[in-house]
Amino acid sequence: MTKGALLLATPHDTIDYIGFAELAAKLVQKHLGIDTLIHIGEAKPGNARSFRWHDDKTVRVPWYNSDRPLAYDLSPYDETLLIDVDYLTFNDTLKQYFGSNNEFLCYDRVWDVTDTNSFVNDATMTTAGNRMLWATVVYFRKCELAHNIFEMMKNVQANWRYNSKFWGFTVDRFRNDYALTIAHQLMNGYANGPTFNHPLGSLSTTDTIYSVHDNELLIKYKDGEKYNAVKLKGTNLHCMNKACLQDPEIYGALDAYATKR
Amino acid sequence: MYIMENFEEFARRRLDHTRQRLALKEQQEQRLTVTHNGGVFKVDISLLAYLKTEPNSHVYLKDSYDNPIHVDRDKLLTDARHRYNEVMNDWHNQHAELKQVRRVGQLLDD
Repeated sequence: MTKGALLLATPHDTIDYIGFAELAAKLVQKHLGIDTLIHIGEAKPGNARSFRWHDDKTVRVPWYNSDRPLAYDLSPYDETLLIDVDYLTFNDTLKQYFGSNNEFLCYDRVWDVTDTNSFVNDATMTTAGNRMLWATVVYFRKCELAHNIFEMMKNVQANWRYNSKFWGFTVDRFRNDYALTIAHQLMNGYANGPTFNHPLGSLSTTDTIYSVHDNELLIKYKDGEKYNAVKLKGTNLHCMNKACLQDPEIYGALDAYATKR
Repeated sequence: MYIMENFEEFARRRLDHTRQRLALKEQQEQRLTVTHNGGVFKVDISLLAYLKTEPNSHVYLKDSYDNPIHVDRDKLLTDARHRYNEVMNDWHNQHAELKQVRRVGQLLDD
């Protein structure tokens, strides 16, 4: 059984997704000891997203996220960990899922590492309150269930406007989390299927990695009118603040740790 | 005599410390997992105690995903104990470090 991690990156004018993918792949190799494959996709225009960074600047940038439903076709592995390029692996927790009986796993909960409830609006995705799953990290085996979930994601993507009306969410941009949630629900027999047994550690776009010392991150976050900090050590983190990841000092320190033997 | 600012500072410090402890708990609990014969098990005291006292060498146990798994008692106990000790050791060390810091937020000024 071959196993590996698949990362999907797209060239971008302002955000270095390919650089992020290289860093994320090195961290996976370091902590999970598995092969990695970075797929460089085509920048297909049409989708856009606004980010508000920690310095209160808001930017609207193109968002190239249409390749994720192709992950099953792209992966050469029997067991695949599909991860976002802004997901930083700092321990071997995800290694435990390889070789298990699970066919498809993703996260159904998020853990805001700053404990300031930053993701309160992401718990559900529709006006009816359907829970939202996260496409950030997905484990799948080559099997009928995983194949059908990704095929259904393609179907949801192709009929995005219809699905937004049917399920009750805003149509303005394609979001993989939503497509995955719908596909997962349907292909598990109109029911909640299995998910990872712990929440997805995440840093919102307005909080930042302040400093890096090996596998120890000092996180700076806004706490009311003041700033506060929390220390994380050996903790996997979905760093949604791309601006801070692009900081040469932060990126350099993370890269040095990832390549250190 | 204490003034209001002292109370505020003390309360903030307690909040800060509680948040850091919760973050540490979440970080470490995520790691308390082992895979055995296709099953995924959360490692906790009750799993360790059960495996230690179970007289049969092979049993069926329900894993975190409600699947019945054929378990080699000694093998799972060894793996689970190893994982438990590794994580608890890290947890203890980091918890001890945490006590040395008056406020984590102060590290931003260093």
